[in-house]
Amino acid sequence: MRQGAARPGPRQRFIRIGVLLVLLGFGARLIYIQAVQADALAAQGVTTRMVHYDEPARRGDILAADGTILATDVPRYSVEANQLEIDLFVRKDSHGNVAYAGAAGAAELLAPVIGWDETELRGALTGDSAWVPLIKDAEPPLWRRISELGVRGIFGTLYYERSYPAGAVAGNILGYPFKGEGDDDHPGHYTGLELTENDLLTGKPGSRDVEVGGGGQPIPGGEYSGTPARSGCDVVLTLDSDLQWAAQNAIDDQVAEMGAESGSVVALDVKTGEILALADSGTVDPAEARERGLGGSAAVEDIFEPGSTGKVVTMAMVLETGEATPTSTYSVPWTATFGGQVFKDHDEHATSNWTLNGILAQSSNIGTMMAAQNVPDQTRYDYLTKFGFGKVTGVELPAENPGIVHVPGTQWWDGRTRNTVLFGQGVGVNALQAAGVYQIVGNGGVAMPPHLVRSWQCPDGRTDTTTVGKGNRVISRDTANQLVGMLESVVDDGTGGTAKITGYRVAGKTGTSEMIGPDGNADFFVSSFIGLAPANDPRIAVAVIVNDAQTSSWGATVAAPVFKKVASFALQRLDVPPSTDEPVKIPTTW
Amino acid sequence: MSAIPAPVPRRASTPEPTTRPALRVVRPPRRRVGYALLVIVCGWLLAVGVGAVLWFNTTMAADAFERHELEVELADLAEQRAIVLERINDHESPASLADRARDLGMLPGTHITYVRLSDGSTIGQPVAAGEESEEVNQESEWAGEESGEESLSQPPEAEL
Repeated sequence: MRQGAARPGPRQRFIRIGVLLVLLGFGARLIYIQAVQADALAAQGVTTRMVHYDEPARRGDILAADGTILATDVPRYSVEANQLEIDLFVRKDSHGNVAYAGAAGAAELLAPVIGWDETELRGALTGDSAWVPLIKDAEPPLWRRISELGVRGIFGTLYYERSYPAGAVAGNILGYPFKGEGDDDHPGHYTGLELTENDLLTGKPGSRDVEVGGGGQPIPGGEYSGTPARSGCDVVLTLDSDLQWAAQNAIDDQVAEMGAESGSVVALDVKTGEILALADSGTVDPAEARERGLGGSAAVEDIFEPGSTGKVVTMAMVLETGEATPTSTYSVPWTATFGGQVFKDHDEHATSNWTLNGILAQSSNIGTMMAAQNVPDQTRYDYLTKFGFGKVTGVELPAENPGIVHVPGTQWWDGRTRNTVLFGQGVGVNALQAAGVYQIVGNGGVAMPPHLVRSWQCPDGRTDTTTVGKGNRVISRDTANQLVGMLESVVDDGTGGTAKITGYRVAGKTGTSEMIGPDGNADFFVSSFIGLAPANDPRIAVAVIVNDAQTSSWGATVAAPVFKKVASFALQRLDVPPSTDEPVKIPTTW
Repeated sequence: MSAIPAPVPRRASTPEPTTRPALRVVRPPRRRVGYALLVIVCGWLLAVGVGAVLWFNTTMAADAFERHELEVELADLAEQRAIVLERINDHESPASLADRARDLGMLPGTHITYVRLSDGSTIGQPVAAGEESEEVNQESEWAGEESGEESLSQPPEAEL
């Protein structure tokens, strides 16, 4: 008799206990996984399926008033290689044989697409670096062709590059992104309008965290979080792109022809204060700013002595204070002494019987001082500041120079300065301020703040327009009208004949001033012409400033021809019909 | 004599006449078909539910793929649009237009003539592009200029 067969109980009990323990183990493990570790394991699973995308924000466009895009963001890809991943790259043909593999295979596929030498590319793809830049600014079609090759270890990162489709047009005022050393793809600082309008132009980057399947597609009902990128707002300027281009060409040509150092042109809409053109010679495409050098707007950053173009302030002052009328008579010598200081006219002439209008037409310094001799110093200063000298215009550009106006009672306002300010010497203005004086005269005596930004509109529908209000009256309408008539005499009967525009009545003033040049000598001439057109109902004020012309220094020779070109172009662009009436002649002599 | 009472004689039982109704075959109670219907409906609902869930899930998965493909296509199209706009912007810049016009032999028109609709008259003098009218070439008889200060009393020789 077998004992084991006779006693099955202990074994069964042993097996039962064993099975029970195993089941308990399973149960415990199940509870541990399902209850204790559930969240952590689920999160770990999600994490392995989650993909994070950064979405760069598109910067807003800057547009001219006519809709021409002056600055915009264009998509580009930075193409990079992971050499470690490329080492694992294998591509098989339809028969299952390895067709391409590793860096050699990747280079063979990529080289013809990106236009690199295959051997050179193979060298770039070989190694143990996880990040090797290949192409810095691939256009999307190129990146698409690269990505379609499906080479493992080749990555493309989307970013936006600032582009200036109109090239150098308005480059001086648009500004450009600074790029710090070693940070070429991530500009952080700007100049020009790119700086002043940065808050509007800057978008908000977005990101997405998505649970994806093997093919990269979102898993239905899976995790999805993030915010989409928000583009910046578009800024619409007051500039007319064609006029800006014409003004830049005109001043560039004249600077070259006259052997001048530089020049600027400002064109204003006298009724609104909108800046139609703000051109500087030598302006380059902002995209090439780093290589070629691009300063800001010389028209607002540099100051000069306005010279005889500033006499219009004195004329306004004597008319407004009742010291004179356009037909007041004066016997004007070519030299005279005021306050113990000797002054001369530009040219020796016999004592002439000129009216106030004639004094302006002939641009006589002596006559101007004679007309204003009874005006107190404070009034002289007040009129200079009322016309905008000595304070910034507030135009939307950085680094505007407020200019210089000395204050009566200070050491700088001496016996000579109190007289020289009457004919535009001893004061410093920028070109925009100088043009602003004529805007006031052309607008019936009301100053409209010059501005470059007309409106802006955001992707979320927000939009706004620059409001300038009704302006600020500086002189009476009668005085302004009289001044326009006097300035017309300058063009018809005086120094500004070269500014005449066929079919249109023109009012304006020439100017030449002498400044201390870079070499310390007083041989640096600033030639200018500032005018209004059409004189019968002024629409535009155009200021032309040319620095240190070599072939001539006269405003009539150097600056007025540029005025004529730019003003003619502007009148056409604004659809201003030619003048049909004749000017009222104001006597210049008596 | 016994104290025990004498037993009362039991009356002999006499058969009573039968009064209950005659037995008849009853029909078995109707089966509770409601349960079966419930089971069928539940089964049907379960099947439809499971089928619907499967269908919805399959559709959602397919839609997810389609959405992914469409998003990729959208991104591609957006990039293509950006590239095309970039080309257009380049072509419509003032400098490009001027170059193209010059290549076509065009010249800037400097004298525009307007027609006044009220009386049909023309305003301005038409001049062919590239030609200057006599008036345009008129120089001021007064050839001199002015200076701001006495230091300019001796202008460059070319102007004297």
